[in-house]
Amino acid sequence: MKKAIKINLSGIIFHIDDDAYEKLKSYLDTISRHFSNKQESKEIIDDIEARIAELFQERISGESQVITLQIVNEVIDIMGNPEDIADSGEDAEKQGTFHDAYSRSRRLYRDPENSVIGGVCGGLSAYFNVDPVIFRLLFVIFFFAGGASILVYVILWIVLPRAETAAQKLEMRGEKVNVSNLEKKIREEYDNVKENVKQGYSKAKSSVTYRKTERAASDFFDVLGKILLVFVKVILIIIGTGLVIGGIGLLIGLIALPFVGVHVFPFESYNFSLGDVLIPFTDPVSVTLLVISITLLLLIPVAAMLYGLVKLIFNIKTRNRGLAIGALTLWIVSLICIIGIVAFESSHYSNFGRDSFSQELDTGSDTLYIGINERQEDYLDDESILDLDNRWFLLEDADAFYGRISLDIERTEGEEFMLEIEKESKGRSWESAGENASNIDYHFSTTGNTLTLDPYFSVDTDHKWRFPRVEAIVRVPDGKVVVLDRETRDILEGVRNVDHLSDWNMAGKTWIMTEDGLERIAD
Amino acid sequence: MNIENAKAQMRKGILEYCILSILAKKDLYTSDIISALKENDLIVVEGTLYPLLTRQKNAGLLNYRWEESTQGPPRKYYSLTVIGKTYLKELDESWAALINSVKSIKNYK
Repeated sequence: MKKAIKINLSGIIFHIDDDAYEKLKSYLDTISRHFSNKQESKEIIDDIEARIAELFQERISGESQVITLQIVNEVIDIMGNPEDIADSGEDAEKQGTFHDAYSRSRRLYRDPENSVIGGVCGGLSAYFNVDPVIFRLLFVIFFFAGGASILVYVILWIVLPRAETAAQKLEMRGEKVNVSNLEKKIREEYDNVKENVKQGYSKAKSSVTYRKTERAASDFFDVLGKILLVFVKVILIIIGTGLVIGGIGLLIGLIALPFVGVHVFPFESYNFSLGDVLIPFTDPVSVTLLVISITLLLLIPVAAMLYGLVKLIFNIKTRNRGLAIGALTLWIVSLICIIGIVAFESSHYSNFGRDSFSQELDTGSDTLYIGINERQEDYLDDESILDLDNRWFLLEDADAFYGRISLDIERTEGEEFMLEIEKESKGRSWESAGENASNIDYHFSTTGNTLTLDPYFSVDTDHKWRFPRVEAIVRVPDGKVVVLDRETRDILEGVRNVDHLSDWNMAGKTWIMTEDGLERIAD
Repeated sequence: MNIENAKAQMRKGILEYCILSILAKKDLYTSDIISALKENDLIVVEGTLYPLLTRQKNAGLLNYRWEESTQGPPRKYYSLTVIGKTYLKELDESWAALINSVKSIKNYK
């Protein structure tokens, strides 16, 4: 005795044996799964089914009313094996891409056949070809070690697609997706289902409660998983959208950087552009190139990350190699451009030049008061947008670079106070370095026995910044007195004194010159 | 090199041309096309024909209409479209040229 099934093939009802049905079903499935185009596949299968219906009709005349396995085998022989059918459908060109795209790659899926919660570990283990227990153990260990693994699991659960079709299951295991493998896989699936049904049946007989618990547990995890999934998806989309909006803001900021002043977060009170900061160092052409290069250098990775994020959130699966290669090339070119300009610019700092001048200070007394021009100090104090080494400053209007001078006091054999101003700078050659030094703008004034020094020199932006330095040296004859104003503490540098006081502590005190250097005397 | 494979490749190349040629005379239903091809040993198994027909139809070379049948499911009758006819004409020419070429190759001294 055999069980028979009723089937509808192209509008005609047939009675078919159980085993014959399975054979036929798997045959049709194998064919249909091979065609990449769903629409085409359905049409072809419909035609084939119609033809099979005809062939069946020819074979159930009279005595035999049931389609047997033998009839199915006969018909399959007439129709041909799935490989041939599929082959004639795909042209050679298409087949090439089909194989390249699917047969060799191994992809990560969640494995519904091998799952405890979401099938993530099962999928991972299929991908890496190891026992799923290893991954399960790792997730549990990391959960107790820090808890982050739960997040990782949930993210993987969301990100990884379920391996639903036989082709995906083959891909998950890295097996070739060809017709015979598909057929094998589908057959396995049928056996599995059959086995499960049988098992479920016997389990139901032996232990109804066990089966119920198992079902309830898996249902619980299913529902919990789905709720969690939706919840986490919503949160991720919110976070992701936030990131995208922030990223777009950053992008616009970066694009605007070369053209307009930008409020940079820690320096909110300042309003300056990258070009303003660079112009004191180099010529306008290099500045333009640098600004564009730096902008691209920052812009491209931000844009790429943004693009990736958007693709991830909205699940867009496109691959644009041209764009990626173009962006990478542009990025590398920018990097090379920056390196090149910096290397070229560094040649401006290769030689050293000096421009010095000295004058006698006619004090008319034995005491010299040294102070600084406090008006300049106040003006410069809080408006610098760029501060190099606490020595050079660029102001907001960026018309000149300012630098702090240094003041030294030395002994002289002569009879009078002397002031020497030494301007130093770097340059491409000896001559240009000397010229650069002479272009440094520095002022001081004397009234009676008071010397008032500007604490800062300046280099305007037409003459570029080339490591400018100015040292003021006051030469004091033996026995004469200098009074250092308290405010000179910022410019005193390395003054020799017998009391071994630091520069900072020398300011605001009165000193007399001795053979061994300055010596402190009571005010 | 396998002789059966070489033969199959040859047949495969001209199968498309043969289908169009059969349909040039009159509209036919799938089984008729199959028996015509089978009689002339152009196909071994029937299944290979269906993807070809679908492809030619999707390419606009063929058209079909349904006709009821007394013995079984409704039948698909295929016919050549205008595009199909010009397509076939070109294939005819190229077939003639091919035969000439093969002939002259064989007689090549």
